[in-house]
Amino acid sequence: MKTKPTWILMSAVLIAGLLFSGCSPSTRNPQKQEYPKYVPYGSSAPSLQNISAPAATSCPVHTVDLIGAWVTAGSSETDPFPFTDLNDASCTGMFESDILPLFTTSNLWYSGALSCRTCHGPDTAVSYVGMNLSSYQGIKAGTNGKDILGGGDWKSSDLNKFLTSGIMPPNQPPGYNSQGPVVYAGVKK
Amino acid sequence: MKKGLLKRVLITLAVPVAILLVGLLFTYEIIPIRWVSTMEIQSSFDPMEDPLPVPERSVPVQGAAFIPGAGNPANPIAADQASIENGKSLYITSCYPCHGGGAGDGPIAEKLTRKPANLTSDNVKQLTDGEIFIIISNGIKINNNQITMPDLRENLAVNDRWNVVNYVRSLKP
Repeated sequence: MKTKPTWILMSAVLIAGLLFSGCSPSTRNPQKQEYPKYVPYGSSAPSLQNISAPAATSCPVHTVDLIGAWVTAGSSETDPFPFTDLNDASCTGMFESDILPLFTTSNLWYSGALSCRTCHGPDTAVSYVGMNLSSYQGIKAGTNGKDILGGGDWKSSDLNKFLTSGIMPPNQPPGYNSQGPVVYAGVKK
Repeated sequence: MKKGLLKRVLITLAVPVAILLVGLLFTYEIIPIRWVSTMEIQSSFDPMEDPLPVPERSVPVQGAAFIPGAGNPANPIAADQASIENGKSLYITSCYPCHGGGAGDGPIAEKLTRKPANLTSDNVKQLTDGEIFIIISNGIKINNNQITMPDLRENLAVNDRWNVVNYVRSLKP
């Protein structure tokens, strides 16, 4: 009779102790409710569609040097012209595939650069300085009747002066090479 | 007398202990109570647990809009009806004031020294999607930071810019 309440007390303390020590059937982490799923809104990742490794036969060359070689060789639309690449290899280029894209491709002269033809488009009435750099005829016609190719003398030509003096392309970033970026053009001889 | 006292003391002690034990059953969720709570619905995560999926309508940050110096970026969004309509609503907000319905005759065009481009002209039609995208992203600045067209990369997300490109492409004179 005397020991009975003591037992009840001891059991109670034991149970309480077990509960406090975490020794209980665990329902402490109820299952997490499902969170609303992320619905992707289109893809804004840059496409690699236009990007491919340069062919082993193409030649690395600065853009200004490439245009210079084309002008020096007579600035023909259809005839191939010779140039020397950065590794002193002899190469041949074509206007259509190697020169024209330099004027009609954005994000080429530096990251995020506009293409030349953005401002110097085919409609010379509204194009800057009335110049059209979007086609062979436009490049040969120059600005307002004035030749920009120096009559075949690249060193004295206006195009060379503008491209190498930091005026064009405009807003050049710090560290811009005055001979333009290196592109892969032409084919090795 | 003594027995009666002990009994009363024990009962007096047992009652609060019992209340405490019942309370503990609920506290430690041996008998769980599902309170209405949003505490579990949150973006925090436990140690060693993978981060939760990104919430709906978050702003996706997927790297650069284009690959630097790699030429014209390719248009990743098809010029379908949804894209063009989306582009139109964005065009009205961001482009209409200067370019108007496309002819470069927006409400503020006459106040500008350099007239906005006619988006249905040959000068714009000749451009590829990637060139138009770069123009929208970076604007047109001539030297000495004279801004001819402001850049809209802060105003339009990457996808939105492509939608505007698709809309501009659909404009007719």
